[in-house]
Parts: sequence; C-alpha cells; structure tokens
Amino acid sequence: MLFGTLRFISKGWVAELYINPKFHFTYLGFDWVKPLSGNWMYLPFVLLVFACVGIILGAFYRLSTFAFFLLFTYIELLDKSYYLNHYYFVSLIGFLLIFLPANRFFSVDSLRNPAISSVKTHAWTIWILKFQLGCVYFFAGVAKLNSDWLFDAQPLKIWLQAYRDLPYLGWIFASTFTAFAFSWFGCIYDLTIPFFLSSSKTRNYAYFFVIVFHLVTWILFPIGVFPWVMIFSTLIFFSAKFHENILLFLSKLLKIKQVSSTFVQNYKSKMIVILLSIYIFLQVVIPFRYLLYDGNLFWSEEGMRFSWRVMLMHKEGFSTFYVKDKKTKGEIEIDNTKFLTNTQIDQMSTQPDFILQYANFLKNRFSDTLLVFGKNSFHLKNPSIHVESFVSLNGRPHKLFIDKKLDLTLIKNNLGNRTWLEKY
Amino acid sequence: MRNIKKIVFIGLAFFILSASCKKKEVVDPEITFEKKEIMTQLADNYIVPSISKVQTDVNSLSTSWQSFLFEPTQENFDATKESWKAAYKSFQYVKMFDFGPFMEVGYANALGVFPSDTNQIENNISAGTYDLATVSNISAIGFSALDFLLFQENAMTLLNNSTNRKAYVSALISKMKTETDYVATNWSSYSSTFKDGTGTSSTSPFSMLVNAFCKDYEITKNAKIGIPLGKQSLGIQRLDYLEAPKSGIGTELIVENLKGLRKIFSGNSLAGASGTGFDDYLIALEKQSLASTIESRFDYLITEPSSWTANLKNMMINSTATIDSYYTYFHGTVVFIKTDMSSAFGILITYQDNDGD
Repeated sequence: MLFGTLRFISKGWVAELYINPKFHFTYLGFDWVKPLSGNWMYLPFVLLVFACVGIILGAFYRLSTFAFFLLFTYIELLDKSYYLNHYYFVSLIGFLLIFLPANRFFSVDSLRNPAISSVKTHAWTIWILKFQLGCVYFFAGVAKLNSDWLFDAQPLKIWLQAYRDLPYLGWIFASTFTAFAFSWFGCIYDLTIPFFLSSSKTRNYAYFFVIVFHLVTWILFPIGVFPWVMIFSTLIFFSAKFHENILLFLSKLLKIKQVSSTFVQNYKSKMIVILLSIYIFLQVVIPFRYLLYDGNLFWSEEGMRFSWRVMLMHKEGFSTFYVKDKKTKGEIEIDNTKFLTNTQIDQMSTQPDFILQYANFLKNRFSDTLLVFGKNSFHLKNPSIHVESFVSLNGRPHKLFIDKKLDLTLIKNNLGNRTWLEKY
Repeated sequence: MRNIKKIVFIGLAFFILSASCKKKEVVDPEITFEKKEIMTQLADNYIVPSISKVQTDVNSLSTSWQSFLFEPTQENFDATKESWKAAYKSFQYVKMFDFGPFMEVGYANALGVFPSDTNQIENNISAGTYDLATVSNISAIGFSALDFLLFQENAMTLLNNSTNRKAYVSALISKMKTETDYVATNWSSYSSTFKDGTGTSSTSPFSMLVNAFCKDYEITKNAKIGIPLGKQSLGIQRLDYLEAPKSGIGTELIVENLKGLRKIFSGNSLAGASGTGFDDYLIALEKQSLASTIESRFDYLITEPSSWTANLKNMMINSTATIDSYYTYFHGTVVFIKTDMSSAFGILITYQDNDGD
C-alpha cells in the first residue's frame, strides 16, 4: 500500500481526482465527507505514507493502523466514481489490522517495549484474515454464475478480443473459445481457491494458480497494484513455519538478531466471539442484499457495490441531461464536461444513483439563477431536471435506460427499488 | 477436490491443443481481423493526403494573400477569400485528430476555434504587437479570425487603410502555415508508432483515435449547430456562436466535417477508394447491422443539408424546425458511435489505469 500511495501521488491523481473536480459523487449517508480545500488534500496522502511505514515496521502499531484505516477510508468515501472492490478490501483489512496484534514480533514496537513481545498469536487473528480473503474469491466466483458470464463469455469476450493484434498470440485472444475458457477457468478458480489454499495438501499447487491467475489479470487488465496485493495477501494461508522462514531470511538480510518460533494458540473470549460473529455475518449477508430488489442487478445496480463483483460487466452509457423551465418549456442541454471529469462522466452515465445525484447538483446549480445569453437574459426559478439515458450492457445494442419524461428532482435517492428505470 | 483440479488441467490441455489445431484453418475474420489494418489504411491513405492537402491549400492562401499585398485589387482579394474557403474545408478532414504531431501543436485549437473574439482582434491590431500563441489570443487566431477580417463589411477597404490590419492577417496566415508544416513534416516519424499502436490502454493510438472520433462528432454537433440553435440556452438562439458567420459557409463546413468522419469510419482514402475501417472491425465482431446503421446515419446527415435553401444562419431563423430535426437526428446518432461502437471495441474510456470493475 505504501507503493500504491506513492504511485497515486506521483501520477498526479490527487489533484486530478480530488482537488480539481467541481463536484463529487458521495456515498449515500456519507454526504458529509468532503475533500480538504486545495492542496491540503495532499495531507491525508502524506499521512497515509507515514501510516504505511509505521505498519510495515511495526512501529506505533495501533496508531498507525488506526490512522491507515481512517485516512484510506476517508479518501475512498470522497467520491464513489473511483470505487473499486479492491479499495474496499484494503479498507476492511485496515479495519481488521487495528485489532490484530501484528506488532508483537519482528517489529520496532517489540524492540521499544519487549514486554509486549510475543511469539504466539491467537488462532482467530489469522483465521479472520483468511476468512476475509476467502470471501473476496468465493463471492467473486458466485457473482460469475450468471448467463452472460458462463454462456456468452461476456464481458471477457469484448476485453480479450481487443488483444487481437498481439504478435503470434493475437488470434488466440480473438477467438470466442478463449473467452469461454477464461470465463470458466476464472469462475472455477474463484469458487474453489479458498478451499484449495486452506488444505495443506493442495496449498502449494493452489498458490501456483494464485500467481498465474493474478499475473494474467495484471498483464491483461488495468488494475494497478492489486494483483500484487492479492498475491502477497494469500500467503496468510501458509503455515506458521513458512512465515518464520521468511522472517528468518529477512533477519539475516537486515542483520537483526531475533529469537524465532511462533505458535498459534486457541483462545476463546465471549466478547471476541460475538464481535467476530457480527463481522462475519455482515460480510456474508452484504453481497446477497441484491436479492431484496426486483429487476436485473446489472441494469439497476442495486446491491452491486461491496459485493466482490469484480470485472463482471462491460457497461457503456450515454446520458444527456436537460434543465427545463416548467413555464416556457425551454431546455438547456447540459454539456457534462463542464461539470464532471471524464471518469465521473463514464461512471455516472450508467449508474442510477450517480444520475440522481448529478441531477440534484444541476438543480441547485440552476435554481433561481439569472442566465445571460448575449443580449437576452432569463430568470430560471424552479427548473425540472431530465435525462435521456441509453445503456449498452456486455456489448448488446443500447437500450433506453431512463426516459426523458421523468422529472428527476421528484425522485428520491434511497435504498428502495428503482422502479423509475426502464425495464431491462 | 483432486478431481476438480484434474478436470481443470484436462480442460486447459484440451484448450491449448484444440487452439493450436485451429490455427491452420483460420479464415474467420472474427479471428484474423487486425486493428493494424485500420491504422495503416488511415495513416497512409487518409491522414497523409489530408494533411498534405491542407498544407497545399494554406500555402496557396499565403500566396494569394501575398499577391494582394503586392497588388491590392478586388480580383486578388477575391482569390484570397477563395483560397481561405478551400483551406478551411480541407481542415475539416484533419481537425478531429489529437495525437502525435497534431497533439504537440494543439492543431485543432490553433486553427479552428470559433466564434472569434472580434474585440480582442481589433485590440491586437491597434496595439500592433501581440503574441498569437498565448491563451488569451485563442479566439483571435485561425480560420475564424480570418472569416472576420476577410469577410466583414468593407473588409478590403479596412485592410487597405491599415498597415497593422494587413500585418495581422499576414501573421495569422504565417502561424497557420508554420503549424501545418510542422504536422506534415512530423507525421512521417510518428506514423509507425501510430500504426503499431493497437494496444488496449486508454493512451494507445487506437484508443485515442476512437475517442477523438467520438469527441469530434459531439463537438461538431454542439458547436456548429446545437449552441447557435439555442440547445444550451433554453431555446434562445445564439447566432453569434455560428461558425464562419461573415462568409456564411457554416453548412458547407458541417458537411465537409461529416464527410471526413464518414471516410474514417469506413476506412476510405481521402480520394474515396474503399479500405479497412471501423466498419470492417464491427463486421468482424458480428455487428454488421450496427455498421450499416452508422453508415446510413452519416449518409443522411451528409446529404440532408443539400435541401437547405439558405445559409445556416437564415435557416436557423426562418426554418428552425428543419434545423431542429436535423440536430435531433445528429444527436440521436451519438449513442451508436459512442456507446455501441466503443463498447464493442472494448475501448476503456477511463483515463486512470486503476480501473478494475
């Protein structure tokens, strides 16, 4: 994550994503999370770097992990245009790390205060991390059990054929057969890998597949540092002995003297059992919340986020907004580039909650406003906001998504069924 | 559990075997089609001749203007205006490109920003000194500024009476010539990067080409018709936003612009010979009907204006409904290009390489 944060800063994304945009798509219930003004926005990123260093060295561990979780989650909550399942994963792990005693051994903290030094850890502390990783894979696999993925090999067919120009290999990627092979392999991999990693017999083979799988996705798709995050995170499935050897190797490398040997101990406390149960319950239930909604999940996207639906669909949209004066019926066709960044437009065009938020932004922007058009001027009092939106899902021809007739200012952005969308 | 692994292994082995067998009998365009064919066709048979056409036309604009300076007759002035028209039209065929040398000089903006800021132009002229490369002068340069200076009322008299005014026109033409020469000269060294740029990242030339194509289509729709028609101003027409208002060639410019985009889509050469284009890629992806829809929509948009009986400005004033329905059709075509075509190509519109899901 240290590398990820530095990469983020060095690519100029802080300004591009958080300082320059005029408007941010906040999460429902988190409207109060606002970016810091101007270059102050760099502050959380710099602090995040310190927190990362702190965690790696095991120095001021509680403070570092707490800061890490808070800062990272703060940044993610600013704008859901940049939502990634992997960021959510990092936030969750950050949260868990606060409570885990990962500074007890091979750390600066244990050097500062040898009293806390411990070679033992409770089984649950490792187990919960395994559970979290298992969730990511397993639910990603469950999500792939849909007809587009399995029987049309979409969206992989679209993404893979784009590699048709590769020398020698291009024809493989252009072939529908490859798309099916990748789809099915990906699905089976996701569904089974947590179990194969858990069993000591299959673990080594399974880890080989972990590396292959993530390297392939890293090469083929623009997903930044996350293949590496997963490759290293899944090491948690290996035995204590294995990790000890790594630490031993690092000790030699850094010329630090350390007594070795870690043990895993079973430990039961009512408090921990209850808290863990709640956490696990939520993790299992949240991905299935989409069942509470009518309609097609990919179309309405209700229950889409926080559910490990990774690289699951190819959705493109074209949404034209109109600010309409109710009396004269005069319209202003909105040029989205005036208010939103390209990423924001891209995300907004296909997602109903974004569309409502943007409509609300436009409403505030144009209500009770004196508009001057050359020699003419017009006082716009209480406009209605409309959108004509078309969406293409997994390469199908576009369909009407939202009808222009609707006045978006009358629709509430909430967790209810989105009956105002056109039927899929 | 072991069994599952075995199945996976056997599946993979089978896949590799069958895939390697398949190679020998490949005739299916779905597999054999390469984007490089589009890039090569476009670079060699469209971009090179188009930019060289602009170069020739800007040169002759420069020559006829020099003749006028030497001998300020009505005849020479008319010749200058005609070469300006020809060059402006040729420019429509390259204004959509925003990569390589086009991007380095910001070619489309350097020559094609409208409407002009006539106050800024007059201020520059009376000051006698100016840096035309600054942002504040972006609306005081290019074809549009010449539309004002060459076609305003009493243009020739005003020019003949002011050395500063003539010098300003000379400076504008010379700037356009320098930039056009730059693009023409530097294209050849960029050409191979362009042809090989068939990668999938958002910064690969193929992605940039598709994005530039969609973007130009939308800009043409909004700037050349939508804004003056009042689409962004509650239906209140803003005729001061029209392109080339003094010469009144707005309609011709729209048509030339669309002809250029149409040639790019179909992979035709500038001269009109057919070749590999986006349409062939769509056909390889089994999207024949999308390809023909886009083509027929372009054809309608290109031919429809020939039925207009007046220039664009007067059409907007007197035949608003005609232009309005033309605009609606123009707008209705965006979704086929921007949504259906881009999504079939698997182009990532996102500019951040952190995408994911």
